[in-house]
Amino acid sequence: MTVPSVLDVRRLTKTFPGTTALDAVDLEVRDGEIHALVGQNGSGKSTLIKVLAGYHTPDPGSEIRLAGEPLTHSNLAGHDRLRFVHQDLGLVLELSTVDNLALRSEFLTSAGRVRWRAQVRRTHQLLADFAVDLDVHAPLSAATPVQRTVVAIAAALAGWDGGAGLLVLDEPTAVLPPGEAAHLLEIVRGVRARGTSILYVSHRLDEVLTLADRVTVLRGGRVVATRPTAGLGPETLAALMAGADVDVGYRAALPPVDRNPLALTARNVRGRYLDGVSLEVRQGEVVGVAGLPGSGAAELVPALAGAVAGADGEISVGTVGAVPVARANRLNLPIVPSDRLRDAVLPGMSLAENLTISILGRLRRGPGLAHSRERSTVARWMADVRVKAASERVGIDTLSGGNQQKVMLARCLARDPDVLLLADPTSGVDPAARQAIYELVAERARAGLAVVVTSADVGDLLALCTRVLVLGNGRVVRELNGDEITEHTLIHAMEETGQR
Amino acid sequence: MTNTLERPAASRPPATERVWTRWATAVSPRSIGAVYILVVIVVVFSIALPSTYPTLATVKQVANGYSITALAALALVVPLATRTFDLSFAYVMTLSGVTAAHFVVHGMSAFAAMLLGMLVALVIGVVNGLVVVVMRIDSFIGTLATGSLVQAFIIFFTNAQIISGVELAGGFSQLAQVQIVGLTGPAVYAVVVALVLWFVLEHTVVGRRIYAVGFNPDAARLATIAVDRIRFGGLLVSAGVAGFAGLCLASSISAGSPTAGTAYLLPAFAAVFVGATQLKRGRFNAWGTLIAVVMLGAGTVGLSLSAAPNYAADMFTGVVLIGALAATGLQRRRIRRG
Amino acid sequence: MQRKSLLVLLAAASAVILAACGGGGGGSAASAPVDQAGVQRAADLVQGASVRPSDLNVTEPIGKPVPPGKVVDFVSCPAADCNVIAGMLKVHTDKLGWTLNVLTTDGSPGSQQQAFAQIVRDRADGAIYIGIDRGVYERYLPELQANGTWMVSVCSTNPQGNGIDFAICTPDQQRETGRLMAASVISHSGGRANAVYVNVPAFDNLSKLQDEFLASMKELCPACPTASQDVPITALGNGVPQLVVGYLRAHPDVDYVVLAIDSLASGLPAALKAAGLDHVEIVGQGGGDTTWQYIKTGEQLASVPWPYVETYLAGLDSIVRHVTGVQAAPSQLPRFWIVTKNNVAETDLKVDGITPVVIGADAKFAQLWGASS
Repeated sequence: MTVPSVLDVRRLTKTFPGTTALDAVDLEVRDGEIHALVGQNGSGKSTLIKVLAGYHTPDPGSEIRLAGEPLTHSNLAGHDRLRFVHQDLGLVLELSTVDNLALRSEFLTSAGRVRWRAQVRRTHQLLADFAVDLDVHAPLSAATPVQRTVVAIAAALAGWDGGAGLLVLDEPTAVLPPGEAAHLLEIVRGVRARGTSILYVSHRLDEVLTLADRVTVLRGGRVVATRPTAGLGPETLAALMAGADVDVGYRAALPPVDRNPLALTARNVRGRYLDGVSLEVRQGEVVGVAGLPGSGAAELVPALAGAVAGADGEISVGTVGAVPVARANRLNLPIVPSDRLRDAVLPGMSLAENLTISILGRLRRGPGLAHSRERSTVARWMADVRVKAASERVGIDTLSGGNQQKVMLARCLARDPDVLLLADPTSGVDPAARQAIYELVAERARAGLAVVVTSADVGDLLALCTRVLVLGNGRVVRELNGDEITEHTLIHAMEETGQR
Repeated sequence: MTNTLERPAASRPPATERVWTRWATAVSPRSIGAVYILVVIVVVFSIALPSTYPTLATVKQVANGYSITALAALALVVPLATRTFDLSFAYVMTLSGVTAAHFVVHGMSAFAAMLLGMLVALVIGVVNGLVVVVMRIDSFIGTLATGSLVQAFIIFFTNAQIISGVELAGGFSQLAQVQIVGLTGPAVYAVVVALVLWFVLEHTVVGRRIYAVGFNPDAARLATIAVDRIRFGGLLVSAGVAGFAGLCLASSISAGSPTAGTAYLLPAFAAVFVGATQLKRGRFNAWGTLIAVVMLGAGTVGLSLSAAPNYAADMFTGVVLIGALAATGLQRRRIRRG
Repeated sequence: MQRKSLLVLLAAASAVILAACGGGGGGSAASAPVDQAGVQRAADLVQGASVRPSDLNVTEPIGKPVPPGKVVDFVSCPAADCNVIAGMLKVHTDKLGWTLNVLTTDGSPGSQQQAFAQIVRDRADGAIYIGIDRGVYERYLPELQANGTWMVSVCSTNPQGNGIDFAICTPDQQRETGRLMAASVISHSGGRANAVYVNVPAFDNLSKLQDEFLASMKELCPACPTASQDVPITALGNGVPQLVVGYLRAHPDVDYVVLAIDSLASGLPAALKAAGLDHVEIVGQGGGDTTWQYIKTGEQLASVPWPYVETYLAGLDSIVRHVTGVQAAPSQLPRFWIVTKNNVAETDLKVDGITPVVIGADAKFAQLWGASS
């Protein structure tokens, strides 16, 4: 071996009661390399990361070496040469950047007193490499997602001398819009340039292909392939992940809807980042809402659902009279929210309970709940949206992101809505599940469902939309129709708004 | 009933195995740790006190002696399931008892006085709802404040005097002192209340919504659940059940004591939190709460039978609470991630 | 994981065993011959005490006009009774044209110290406080003495003297109560009682009461097995009935429960009934409305009411004498009274919400002070 390896995992096996999550996995990250780890949800990626983080104990016979030093479960946790940025970032949003960095690395103290001025200086030093404009005193809840990710990376790298070691980035771009994601990739390259090897976990194949040197594909807990990215195409990679060909260039190609009656009308919607947006959506139409962060694109859809405090404007579904958006939650206007864990998943409840929560009124039998009717309803929806789970009784938190999202979609569709609102419908979802979600939405749209979708992932809009509204400064500035909607025109239109 | 048509058969284990696993899960220490500790308690005391402990009298003493604690703990199940604290419940217990006792002593019929007691309890429930749900004050602080106001009102109303009178020994005392197959009224009421709570929480639409509000209020709101109404309702339920527990307490001591309920604050919270680790892990539930009360009662009665030193009961409670939570709560975290 | 749950179970089990081992055995009923002479003496004692006393035992009138405008500080306690006492004292200080400052405490030494600091600032002419050990206020005594504040210590273990100007309801004064409770048990049982004395060690001023009860049982009924059981102060809210029931089930021969203070009986009759222990008789001391009710309904056998009115008015009397410049009267209480079903109706006569032992105790004191209402 010519290039020494930073991380060398051999025959890593992890079994849980009833399942084998990892089956003799070999993974090698070379010094100075960006190594991507891809795989669908449930392929074992998360388990692998959790073993490396010292959270799970690997089965006997597994071997993990870090720069040649053999590691066991007990000295993995908190190892100084192995640092993590987890998907949830591990930040305290109520606290400021200064506080978060201090919490994660160390407090500068003299005689037990925190030296805040020095702490602030240090915060600026830590962030200096990342070219990010951020009020370090404001609570992180006010920061954008990319700023938070940068803070998390800075926190993970605090005190790192740049020697041989590994930074593990778990889905860092999952919630980032394209421009921001590109910025983050630059940051990751910068980290590597300073001598740190990186294990990069992502769903975004294009990212993986442009960023990584080599990629390891996991499927069903096994390594399917480890290959250099040079010469590798997204189709090949997706095929390796799925085990079958997946259309990454999916287009719903929905029929024109000009004659269809109106399904949704919104007038003069105002609120945070929204400065009077009106829109009309016809039955069977999928309308996209695009825009840079701060343009109002991300805020419009939740505002339509009545989920944004302080938003005003009027909304009507079908021919029913208009109501203020603040009361939109009384309409049959379901939303798949952008932040699944925060706004949609009912943790601690089962798959079935999550699915039927919005349609319980229909599952009454006398004073009680018709359990058998609920079971058959759930079984039908699980089949319809192709949720993969051992049973409908499993906890929602045991499902992969893709399967959770399918359950959330089923929850909304079960209400038999005329209009469906989607926000980042494929965030944290693997390509196969993404494909399934596209097909599901398109199928419903062909049957007359009107959809309003916003997504930081332009791919979602390309795949689904018959029309895209581009927002800038809280107003609709462009409208793209049918064939006009291409990656190039979309991104161009969004970036134009940024120039104003 | 089988749904083989709708369920792909290959993805699930055979039915017998499933039934077995379900049983294995149901009786594992992870789901009913308190029952295991209860068994240990019973075995140890039965060996130590073979003539007095393993008797029907002990069963009755546990059931009768801890029935009011059980009612108090059950009062908390619904609000806590919606992640709303109700610290005022103990004062509501006092208030309903004092109110009913006052009116009985002043010549009102026991039944009418009890109705009045329930009414004032529900009024406090409404006040709690206004403070916590409408004014959006944190429930922990909000109900602490209303509880404090209730206590102040009780002191004002009673001049800190115990309300007593021979009238209380009549029909009023029957509520708690009536015997039904060897059990006193409150023991039976506790089982009935648990039964109702179990049915509502497990087998009705409202119950499902209550848990959803507790697990993620934002998601519940987006899923069209009237979150505020459910939390308000939860506080009414706790006030109502606590009011009833207070009537039982006043009836059993045949007096309206201006501080009677306070002693139930901590035991009830301890029981309901242990209960949440039993049977339905992570969910506040009625039977789990009763199991927790019985476990604590069985140990305390055993200690009093063995004339243990007077620090033993508190020590026992502490050790057992930690034990029950460790046997279930800690392991739950590992499983969930697994 | 299995190992961990096993460990937890073991820990719980060992705690149970440990706690269980602390217990001791109880006395068993012996069928020794009944000491008829002792039973007779007990009966005589009860007989005598059944008649309500009419004499305060403080008889020396002041004989001089009481100066108005004096200030008395009363250190209250968190118990309900203290508020009632404060109210009663207020009525009397008002009659004298004096001011009563009620200093509330939460029962903690810290809040009590604050109250004493307040007495110093008030430059009160007298201070009355309940069940507070002198260790709490020792450091204020020199200043209080310098201010001329007359210190009245009620129901504590500290003797009179050394800065405490007047001590009343002392453990020695309580002894007779214990003797009367024993007499009540013996005479009711005809010398065949098996009694348990329920004590609260936290109330250390009640210790001699227990000693006297046990000694009198031995003296008047050597054949009566007698034991005592401590209950923790934390059980006072709701745990006492179950502790007593547990004790009685472990000692099925016991048929008399004697309570260090009547408030321990709260809920006890119902718990005894539920446990099928209705035959067990309850005797207590202290009194109060709940107690009278229990006696009226036959749920409690007897109680020796504490002369609260007389105690506090005697304390106030000592202040009156001090500020008037009259020789202090000795710390004296009226003869004790025993309340049973036969004479419980007499408890309905009250002074400001409290049943006095001596009828018209308040008027009698007012007469001594020349402060007629």
